[in-house]
Order: sequence, then structure tokens, then C-alpha cells
Amino acid sequence: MLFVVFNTPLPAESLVVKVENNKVILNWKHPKVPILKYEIYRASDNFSKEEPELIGQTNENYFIDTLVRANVNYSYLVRAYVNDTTYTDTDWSNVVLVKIEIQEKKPWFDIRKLPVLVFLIIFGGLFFFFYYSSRLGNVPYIRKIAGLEAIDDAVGRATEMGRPIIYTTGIGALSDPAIIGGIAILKYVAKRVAGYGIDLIVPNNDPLIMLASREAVKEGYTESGRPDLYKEENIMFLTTQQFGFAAGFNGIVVREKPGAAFYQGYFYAESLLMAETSYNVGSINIAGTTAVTQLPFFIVSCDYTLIGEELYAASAYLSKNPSEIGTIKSEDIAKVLLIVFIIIGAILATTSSFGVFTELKDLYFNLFKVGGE
Amino acid sequence: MQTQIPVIVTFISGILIMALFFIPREPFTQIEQLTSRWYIIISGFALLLGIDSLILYHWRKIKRRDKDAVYSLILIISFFIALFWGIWAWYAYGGPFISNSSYLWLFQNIYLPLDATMFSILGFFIASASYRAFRARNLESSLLLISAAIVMMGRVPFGGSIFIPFFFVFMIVAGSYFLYIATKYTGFNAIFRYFLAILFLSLGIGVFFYSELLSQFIPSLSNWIMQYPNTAGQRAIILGLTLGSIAFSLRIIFGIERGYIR
Repeated sequence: MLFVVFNTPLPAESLVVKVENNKVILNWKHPKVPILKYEIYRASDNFSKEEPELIGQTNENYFIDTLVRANVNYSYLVRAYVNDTTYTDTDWSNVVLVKIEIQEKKPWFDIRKLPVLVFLIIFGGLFFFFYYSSRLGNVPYIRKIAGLEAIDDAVGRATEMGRPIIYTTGIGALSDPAIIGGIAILKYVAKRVAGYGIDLIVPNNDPLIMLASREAVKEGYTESGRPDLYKEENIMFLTTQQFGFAAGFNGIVVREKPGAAFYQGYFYAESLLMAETSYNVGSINIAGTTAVTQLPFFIVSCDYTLIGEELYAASAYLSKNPSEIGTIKSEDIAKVLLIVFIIIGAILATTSSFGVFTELKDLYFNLFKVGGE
Repeated sequence: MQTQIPVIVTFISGILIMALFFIPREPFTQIEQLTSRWYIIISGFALLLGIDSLILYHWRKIKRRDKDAVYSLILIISFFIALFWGIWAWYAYGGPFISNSSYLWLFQNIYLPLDATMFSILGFFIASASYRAFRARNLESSLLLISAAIVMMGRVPFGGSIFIPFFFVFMIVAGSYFLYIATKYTGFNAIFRYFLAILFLSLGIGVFFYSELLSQFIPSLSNWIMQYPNTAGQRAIILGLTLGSIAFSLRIIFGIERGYIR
């Protein structure tokens, strides 16, 4: 099968094959002529050198063969193509054998992650303390969150204008807490919208989020006593592509001219594209995201923005469920603890730079190191 | 029962994934990867539902002969062209993204330019959003304007050199403005505006005496703003976010937060 044609380029030289971490790594030098591509052939116990197996192609001067089995002999050949028909081959490499690496049995607990576990136990303790405390009637005070208070106004405004409402959870996966938080707010918005009988449009970039959004909206309409107004077609999938989604979303905004636009979830560079478009059609914009890099864009282009943790607190805030609200208090206490730890660290770092408390500083800093970093 | 089963599944999965973080032993280290694969497989099937939703949505618009039905028609035609072209490329070239595949040509010459166009529009939107955000209406927005101007000038090539004429023009215009409006006031208000006018004009003229120092100062100041006030602000938000995220996850795992299910 393998042959060399006349007028061939210089061969891909010095093929070196070695085994590392259960993978075979191939390296060779580029020939002195431009190469269209390389094809990598592999001979093994099942494929002879006369009829080798084509395992991949590349434009680089290396290849990593990950699909290897233990205790099988492998030999490799690289074919360099100058064009579609002209090529040349290296010699077959030496035979390599991938052995199973017997790994040492690891412990049941990664001691390097002890600080995380300690923090989790402390935070968990605070969490459940305030949870049960709230259930017993000690409901903590939560300051008003302007972005959430404005939801009713935004829905009312859209109703007065006779325009629909558009809602997106952005780009992300259903496993992302920000998206789950966004869906919880969607349910509240759906409840409000159902009372006024206006359309709620929810474009999605993930089919699983679309299904969850449909459930949340349907539930919102049902809880409001208007399941007849629920339109499944208004909660639709657009595309998984970032800018394709932004283009589709903007298209809907320009055509439907929503009275209010909600951006509650996780966003990337499309955030400003979408928020500016809805601003330009006269919508009231209410955003909320945990994406720190996108927060400035939302702050400048939206009327109200839920900053970071406010999005997580939103469902508890809107539900007005005392036990949920109580858990928010644990975040504040943990925050105070962290601030104290930071201040102590800053003082120790400052004093140690003058040669005071150097050992104490090292000890203190080591307490917070996770995984030796 | 309809709510209990999802809560139980969430509880078991949540506790398991949390425990896996602390166990470095096989086969536990692979369980997280395994569940990620399950998610990908489920997403693959869910994509069919997504396509069904997309096509039906636009098909209904065409059937109803809505005002913008022509866009829906274009979408459906484009969708099927891309789908069948991709399948054909698989058959003809062994894959749609093989180097000589015609589908790759479609991707590189139609899809990528459209994608890049959408991304580049962002530049114009940033300009319009910045214009609104940087209007000096109060102290906060004035501080934002000043720090943004310093960061922008410090980050662009020749920013330090641009700063000198920019600063001069800004100070002369601002000084002239205060000089003009000071004539419309009396008493302390007039004195205060005259003071501001003299200050701005002096700084504008004085910039030329310290031009070399200032051209090096602006990039340093820009870096300082990014490294200290900006990083401090971001870290504060990230700290809150992390705690919020843990509390929210605990609420979901223990079934306290059920807003996402029926």
C-alpha cells in the first residue's frame, strides 16, 4: 500500500516516538518544503506494516496517540503530503509498548483540602442555624433590592404600553446556579405577567434550559390562575452559538419591541449587544448576573442591575419564605468572618515585612492554602 | 411525589458531587467526569427538542403569514441547507470540517463572517453605552468618567503622549466654561467658579512644563487603577458571589429552594 512517487519532497525527518502517561507521543521535523498535511499510520498486532491503520492527520510536527491499549506493540509512520497526490513517508519507527502503570492506592480523604472542609462545616453550621432560627420566627431583615422591586413596575409599564415582555437567562448550562436563579425569577415574572394577560417571550440558547423555562412559566401562569394564557411557542430555542443567539434575540427585540427586557442568568460578550438593543427600542431593562466581567456593561445599559449575589438571593427575596430568607443571613455572617481573616492577614503581612511575626504569618497563611497553593 | 423525587435526586447528586471533591481515590475521581458525560448525552437528545421548537415556531409564523414571516422562511431554508450539506460532506469527504470539505468553505465564508460581524458591532454599542455612563451628572459618574479616561489613555499605544494635548484642551475648555458662567453669579458662587476657572486654566497651561513626567505618569496611573481599586472591587463582588453560590447550592441540595421545579 505504501509507496513513494517520483518528484517527492524531502521526507519528514527524524521521527521520534516515546511513551508518556499511557500515551504515545510522536515528534518529527518539518521538511524544507511547504507541507499540506501529515497523515499518521500505525502498525500493531492487528494491523500489519503492509496494511497499517490511519489514526489521524495534522499540520503540526507532532502527534499524540491517546487511543492505545496496554501491552500491545505499536510502530508508527508519518506521511507528508505536498499536495493531494504527492507525498513521502518516514521510515517505520521503533516498536513501543504501553505498559499499565500500577498506581499507588490513594487515601480516602485529600488532606490538602482540609481548609475547604473546615470552611464548609462552619458555613453549613451558620446556614442551618439561621434556617431553623427563621423557622422559629426570628426572620432577619433584608434590605430592599431595587432591581427586584422594579419587576412589578416593569410588567405594569409593558402592560400599559401593550407590548410583550422578553426574558433571557443568557448563555450557560442548566447546572450553573446563576441559570437556576434566573429560572426562579422567571417563574415570579410569569406569575405577574399572567395577571395582566400580556405575552412573555423567552428565547433560549440551550434546549434543557428551554424545557426548564417552559415548566417555570407554565407553573407561574397556573399559580396565577390563568393557565389558559400560557403559550408554549413563546418559550423557544434559538441556537447554542453565542452571537447567533445574540442576533436572534436582537431580531425578536427589534420586531416585537418589548416593554420590558429581563436579563437574569449568565452572560458573556453578548450582554451589551442585547441590553443596548432593548434600550434602543425603549424597553425598561432589568439585569442580574454573576458574570463579574459583564456587570459593568449591564450597569451602564440597564435601568436596574442585580449585582452578583443579589441574583442568588432573588428567589428567597421574592418567595418571602422565612426559612429561605434566614439562610441569606448566614452569607452575611460568613462575609464578616472572611473580612476579619483578611484584615488579620493584611496586618501580619505588613508586620512580617518589618521582620515582626514572620513565623506567625507563615503559619497563618498556611492555614488557608488549599492543595499546597 | 412530583416534587419529592426531583428533590431526592438533587440531594443525592449534590452530596455525592460535594463528597467527590475530597476523595482522591479511584473510582470516585471518575464519577464527576462520568456525570458530565451523562449531561452531554442528555443535552444531545434535548437538542432534538430544541430543533423541534425552533422549526415549529418559524413554521407557524410562515403558516400564519405574519408580518416578518420572510425571515422565518430564510431561517428554515438556511437550516435545511446547512443540515443536508453537512450530511453530504460527511458522506463525500469523511466529515464536514475536513480540510478540503465544501462544508468547511460554507462555515469559513458565511458563518464566521456573520459571527465576526455580530461581535464587531459590540464596539459601537460600547461607544454608545459609554457615552451615557460617562456623562458627569454627579460625583460618582464624574469619578467614573475621570478614571475611565485615565485607564483608556493609559492602555492605548501612545496614550501617554495623547494625554498632553487632550489634558490641555480639556482644561482650557473647562476653565473657559467656568470663567463664562462665573459672570452670571454673585458672591461666593461667583468666587468659587472664578477659582475653578483659574485652577483649570493654570493646570492646562502648566501641563507643558511637566509634559515628559505626565506622559509616563498616565500609563502608571492606569495600571494602578486596574491593579488596586478595580481588583479590590472585583474581589469584593467575587467573595459575595462565592458565598451566595454556596448558600444557593445548599438551599437547592437540601430542598429549601424549590423555585426551579413544580
